[in-house]
Amino acid sequence: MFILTTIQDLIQIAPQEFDKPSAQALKDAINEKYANKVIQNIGLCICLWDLLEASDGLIGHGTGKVNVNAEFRLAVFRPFRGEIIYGIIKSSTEEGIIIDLDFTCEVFVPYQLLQPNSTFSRAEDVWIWNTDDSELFYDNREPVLLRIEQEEWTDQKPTIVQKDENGEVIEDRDTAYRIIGSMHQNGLGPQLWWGEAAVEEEAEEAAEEMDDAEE
Amino acid sequence: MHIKTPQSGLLSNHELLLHLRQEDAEYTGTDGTGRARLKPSGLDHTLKDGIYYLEREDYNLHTVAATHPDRPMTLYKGPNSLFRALAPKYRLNKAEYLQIYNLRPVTYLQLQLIIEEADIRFSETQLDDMLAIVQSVFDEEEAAIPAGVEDVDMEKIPNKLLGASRKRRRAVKKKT
Repeated sequence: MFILTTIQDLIQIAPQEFDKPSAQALKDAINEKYANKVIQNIGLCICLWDLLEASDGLIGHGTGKVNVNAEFRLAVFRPFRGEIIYGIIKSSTEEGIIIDLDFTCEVFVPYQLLQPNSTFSRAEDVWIWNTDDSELFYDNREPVLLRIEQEEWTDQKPTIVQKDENGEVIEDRDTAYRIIGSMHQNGLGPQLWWGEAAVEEEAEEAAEEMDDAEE
Repeated sequence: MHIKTPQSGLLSNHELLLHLRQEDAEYTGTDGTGRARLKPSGLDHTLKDGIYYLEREDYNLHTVAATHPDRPMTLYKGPNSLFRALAPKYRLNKAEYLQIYNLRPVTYLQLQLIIEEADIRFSETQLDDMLAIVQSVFDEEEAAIPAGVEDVDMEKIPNKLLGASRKRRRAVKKKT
């Protein structure tokens, strides 16, 4: 789910950093600029992987900053379509389930892509899969496997102005990078359901959960 | 900023975990090179959360990192790699290999999720065999693998999936 992206950029090193070896100063500047940020249509940048090339530093007019043309590779999070990944169920709403991947929570599974025959329990705020013989719960904090279906990109550039029906400017923007996943194949969803002795465990699990629910 | 290559390579979770641990050790000074310094704020979050995610016990990855801590390439290249163990017998594409590395399937069901049309391409005994090979390759301790083995140039395994030569393809198209 991680890829390498090669980027060329102009990095500026401030005079305060001149005591560091230049490779370190470049690395810190690149990490400062890119770590934990989303680049449109590329992905969520994690950190610098390696520095490929760096030119000599040139000092511009007016400031004492050294400008370096650097080429480097970043480790970027971007799962491909059809990839199976692990996650934790964070919370559920009527629309679907939000999955937590620790470094990002912008993974969403809409209700249409859960197991067919799933219903939402408003009392407990969980989705329930109604199989022939038991009810299985999509509980919070359960580790799950999900399949990546789609990506949604929203440009955050301030120059792009979005207007609603009345012609007024919308200030809030959607998240820059969202992933849509699915959990409707056998084997996806809470891993508790598909253990080694799958059928027996499912029945036991369901029996325990039914007991808890009744209590 | 100029994106030179949007995707210049694929990383397995294992490789990224080792890299994140190295970066963390450098910035906190635990690697003993005396380069301890304050982490840029974004990096602080990604290192902490990335390592937390990749080391979660439920995700099976920490076992791979435990058996292959310093020489990750032994898993990917050379005679002890998973690729060499599986390729002579079974045709799997790159995405499937990557997912096996990331998810470390132990059950039949997990393997079927990763491999498209698994029941059409392989028989049940073949899938069981694959699971056994995956288990043995991942469990092999790095120390037991001789040094430098991953850098040895091995002969290329021809990729049958690439299909017949161009000549034959054009002939088939003309017929239909």
